[in-house]
Amino acid sequence: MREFTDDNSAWADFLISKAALILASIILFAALFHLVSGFKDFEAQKQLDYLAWDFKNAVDEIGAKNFQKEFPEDSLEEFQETYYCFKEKEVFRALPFGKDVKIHVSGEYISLEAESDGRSFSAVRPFAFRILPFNESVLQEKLRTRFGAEGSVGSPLTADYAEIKAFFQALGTKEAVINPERNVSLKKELIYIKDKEGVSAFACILIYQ
Amino acid sequence: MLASLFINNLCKVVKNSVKTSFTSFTSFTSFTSSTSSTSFTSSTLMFRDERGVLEPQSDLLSTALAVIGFVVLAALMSQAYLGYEDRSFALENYESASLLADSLAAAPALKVESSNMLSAAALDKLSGPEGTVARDRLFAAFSGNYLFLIEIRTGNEQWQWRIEPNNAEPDSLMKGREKVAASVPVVIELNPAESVPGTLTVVLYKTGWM
Repeated sequence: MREFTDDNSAWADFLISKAALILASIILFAALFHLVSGFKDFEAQKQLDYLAWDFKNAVDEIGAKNFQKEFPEDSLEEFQETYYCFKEKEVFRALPFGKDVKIHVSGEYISLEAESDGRSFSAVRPFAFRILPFNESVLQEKLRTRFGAEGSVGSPLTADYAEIKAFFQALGTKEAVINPERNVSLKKELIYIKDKEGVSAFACILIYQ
Repeated sequence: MLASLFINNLCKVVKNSVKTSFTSFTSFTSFTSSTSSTSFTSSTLMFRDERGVLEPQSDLLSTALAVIGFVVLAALMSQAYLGYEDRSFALENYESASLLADSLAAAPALKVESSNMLSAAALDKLSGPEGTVARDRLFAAFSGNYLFLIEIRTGNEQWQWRIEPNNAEPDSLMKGREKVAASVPVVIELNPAESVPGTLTVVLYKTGWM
């Protein structure tokens, strides 16, 4: 003990300070590494967000196009079908997940999900306009089953607005899986309703493959 | 330990060489100027000081500086990210609000027949209690996830109309909620003899979806 207290070479100081330095360096480098890897995750998340936003924008633009032609006197012309392909988008090709991106569309939102290095990423964007995730023939069949009419000019729906809205809301809750390799069809469709004030129409956008 | 000893030895060699060069330089300049000689003498004094007040802790100081730098960098980055997050709702949804405003400005339900002007009579009906069915029809084309209201006002602020969806919850359109608005210029026909310029504004409220 006496030898220990009389030792003036300060080896203990030296060792402790060096150990502290090594520890601090390890923590600093770990934090830097974590920050850099965090940036990669952040970038991947932002790319996924952008892709969801881009699809939502494409759909909303179709909803806004010819918005003034939603009413019977102007709406006899067919609304053109347009296509969106995820694979053709540069952001999609730049994603670090490869082809493992799950895309779901419902009447309310577009959702993109992916996994990378055990971490899951997701991006969800709601649509501004009324969306149905199936094609024209499925829609007509569902309307015929429920209301006994197709909702076309020649065969308008006769139920009240609230009932029709509730029915469309229920239809929109089902999700459709989208294959990013194939084109997604986007088509604006008019649903005609006949009530005591006459025949009116409202638009919805069909999304299908 | 070996590495540390090697670095110490290296430092000593460097220090000695610097000390030698400075001493020779001082002796050379002492012939030319007495003032400069004084300053160099103080420099050599500093180099000859063998007490080593700072030397044992120099690595600690440099590490502390690096850590402080890192902390400041992380704080700045988190601050920038938080700022972006705060404004991301407005940045992302302004375009949607603008699209809705453009669409609604062209909606036949708000317009005078065979004209591009908004009809004050139609706006009265849509914003009043008797316009429930008309409001249902106007908002039928929009998704229920987008909570927005329409404000139309004349340029002189004399007239204004506010059209809200029928199914909006009472507290969902409160003033304190986060929102983004986009306006388009319109012409409002007050009566067949008078038309005034105004704006149609779509106010989009933040919901759980956004």
